[in-house]
Amino acid sequence: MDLTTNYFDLFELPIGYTVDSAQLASNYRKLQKEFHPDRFVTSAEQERVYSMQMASRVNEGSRVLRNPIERARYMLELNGVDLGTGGETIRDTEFLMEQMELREELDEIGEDEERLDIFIEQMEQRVAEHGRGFEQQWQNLVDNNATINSENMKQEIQRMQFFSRLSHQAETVLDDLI
Amino acid sequence: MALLQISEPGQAAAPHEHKLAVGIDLGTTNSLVATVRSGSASVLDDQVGDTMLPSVVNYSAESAPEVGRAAFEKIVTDPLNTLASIKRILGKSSAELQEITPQSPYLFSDKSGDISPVPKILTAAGEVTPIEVSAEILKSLKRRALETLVGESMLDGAELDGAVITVPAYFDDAQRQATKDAAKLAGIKLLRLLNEPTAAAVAYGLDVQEDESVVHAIYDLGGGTFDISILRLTRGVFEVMATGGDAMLGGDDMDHLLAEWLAIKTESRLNPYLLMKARRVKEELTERDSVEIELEESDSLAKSWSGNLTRDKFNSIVEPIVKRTVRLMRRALRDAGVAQEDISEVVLVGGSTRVPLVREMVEEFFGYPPLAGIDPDQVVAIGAAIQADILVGNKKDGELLLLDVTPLTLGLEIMGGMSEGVIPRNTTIPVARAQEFTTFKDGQSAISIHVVQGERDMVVDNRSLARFELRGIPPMVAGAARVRVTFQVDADGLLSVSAREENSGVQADIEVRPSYGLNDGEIEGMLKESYQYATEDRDARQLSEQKVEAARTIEALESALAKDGSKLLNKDEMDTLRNKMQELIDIAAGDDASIIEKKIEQLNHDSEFYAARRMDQSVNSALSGQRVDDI
Repeated sequence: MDLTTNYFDLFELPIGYTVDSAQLASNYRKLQKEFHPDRFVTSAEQERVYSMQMASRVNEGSRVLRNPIERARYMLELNGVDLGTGGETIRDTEFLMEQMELREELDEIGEDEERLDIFIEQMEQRVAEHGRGFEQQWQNLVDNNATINSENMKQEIQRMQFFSRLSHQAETVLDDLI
Repeated sequence: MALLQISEPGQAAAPHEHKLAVGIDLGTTNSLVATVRSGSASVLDDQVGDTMLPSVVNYSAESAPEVGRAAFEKIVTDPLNTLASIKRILGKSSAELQEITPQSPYLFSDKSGDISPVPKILTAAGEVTPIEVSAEILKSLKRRALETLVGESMLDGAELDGAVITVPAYFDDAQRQATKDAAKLAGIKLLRLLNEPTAAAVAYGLDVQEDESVVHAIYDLGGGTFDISILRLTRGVFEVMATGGDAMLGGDDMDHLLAEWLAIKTESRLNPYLLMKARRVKEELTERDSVEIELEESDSLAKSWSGNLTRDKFNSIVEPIVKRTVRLMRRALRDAGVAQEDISEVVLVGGSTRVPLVREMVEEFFGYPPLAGIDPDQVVAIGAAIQADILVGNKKDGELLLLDVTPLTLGLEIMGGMSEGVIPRNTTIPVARAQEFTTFKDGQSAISIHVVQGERDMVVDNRSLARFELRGIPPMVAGAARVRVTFQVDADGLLSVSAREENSGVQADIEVRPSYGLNDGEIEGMLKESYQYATEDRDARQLSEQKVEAARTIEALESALAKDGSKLLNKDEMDTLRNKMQELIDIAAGDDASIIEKKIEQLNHDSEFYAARRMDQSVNSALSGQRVDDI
């Protein structure tokens, strides 16, 4: 198995932001049935290692393709655009204001479980919104056969990441209530 | 990378006789062993018909340790030498024990300068580690299995072909490693560590034949641990979507709370007698609405007390524990991304789910009564036996596959004592993930890597798994080095970490184990002590292992070549490979284990290209639903 095959190819899916989740899930199961270490418990040591590597790759590929942010990043990566580990500055003042307001809102919610749930829901919606933004721009490129100008798409991903992080923070507060 | 033998759907890789495989539930309070015979799984009982082996070991100066019922009866009379609920401290460091059980009944050895962080308990038979205590329990179960399966008269030299041992889903890396070490000490070939709730799901055969997927929740409250797992089942594939729980929460805590209540009534201190009494009262209250309690003044009790305890009162005493399980359940659902109403079945596992309050609160949470058809004490062992039977090859391939997850986030320490996640909790295993770091000083030649496990932001709040250093980085300006740290979690949930500086190729690997596990030397030492691995046997064992491995390697290649060798290899490639195989066959006939080992490695390396071609073909055929032969 060529371990450099891209994840879309691995699961026989077309490269795109919208993935057929049923096909992904079904191909995922087929591949795991073939390669999972449980199939090789009594096999030679090297086969077991190999099976672990393949199963790891299938798991990682499925995770990346299932997660909208990871998927979008991966699409850019395949086109040679590396987003790094974040830390890039966002210069959009309006967005910066919104960030501050949302952070304040989360602080103010404190440990109110019900409001935390609503907040998480809202953040997930914002992530989805920017995902649609990303998809539109990607589609524009494909339709017009243009080369990748990643700036706008990067921006969408950064926003998805921001809202997702906030949602995660709210979840951490919920966890601490346990 | 090497050859991956492609097994055809519906057919085991090689013809075989029925192998002896068992499932073991190594529990906090009780342990069980089960096996599949004539297609159905059942737990094995001992000579007097008990299926449950109390997880208690009594050590004495004169004789071998006693395990089970006999040991259990000495809890009160010989408390310092009778070790119970050892699973609670398995895989914990001495320091952690101070926090967990400040008033532990046992005496811990406290030698300063002791290099091993594994706690050692002082007994009449000398110092023992929790790993050794667990190994005694495993040995006892293994003996029971062999006596039942091969008969007492033929015990000499009889061995199990393999065992699946269950662990709480919430067990961390150190606890899993400790369980694995205990199996090794007990001379058991471990096929797989299996999460208890997953085992329970297998036991219920919660599978659907239709194409749709269904989601189940497994609520597992045992003596010492609580686990909640959310599973999706689709035609023979069990996918664990999320798991959660608390490795220090269970029925013992109910006993504890009730014993404390009794201690106040009798103006006494908490002691083993009260704990035992509390457990009995708790058990009686599962059947009745109220229980009369009479406590006589004695060595253990400062004052007599008699009175009535109603179930309502008992419920109010233990409610905090059940409420906590409900909160953990909420989190698991959130992690799985499903709502309460998406769960189509709830399964109860573990003896503590007999407590009526547990059933009431679970039913209230989901809105319908949970499943409890299989004895909650046996269900885990039964599931483990079914899985062992499949793994060892007694059952046809392709019928059942378990895809489990990591219970806790695995990460690294970064600047400022912060913890950065590399593999988040509830990631499907096996998994490999890499992260890149750099140097922060000019000419920095080493980078220190601290591996942690846990959900908290600060390293000190998480569990430290291992520390190691990548040395020999050539001098570069700050930020120029590219250190890639790779985490690999295997199908048992065990982690290994490697680090590599990409520009220079400097590499360091570690199997995560030293922190509070035993190091290899210690394990070897213990193995040497145990009678079944006399030193002179060891070399012979290594040689025989290498010969078996060589035979497997050849067999795998032979069967692959028979299938598609002529299709995938040209004549030159084929001839070269054949020659190399013959070389290994010749060398494997000799008696030098290390040379055989090297030769196997070499052949694996030389056949890598062929393996790669077969793997590619295999991916295609898996997805197109074709057999390899049909292409």
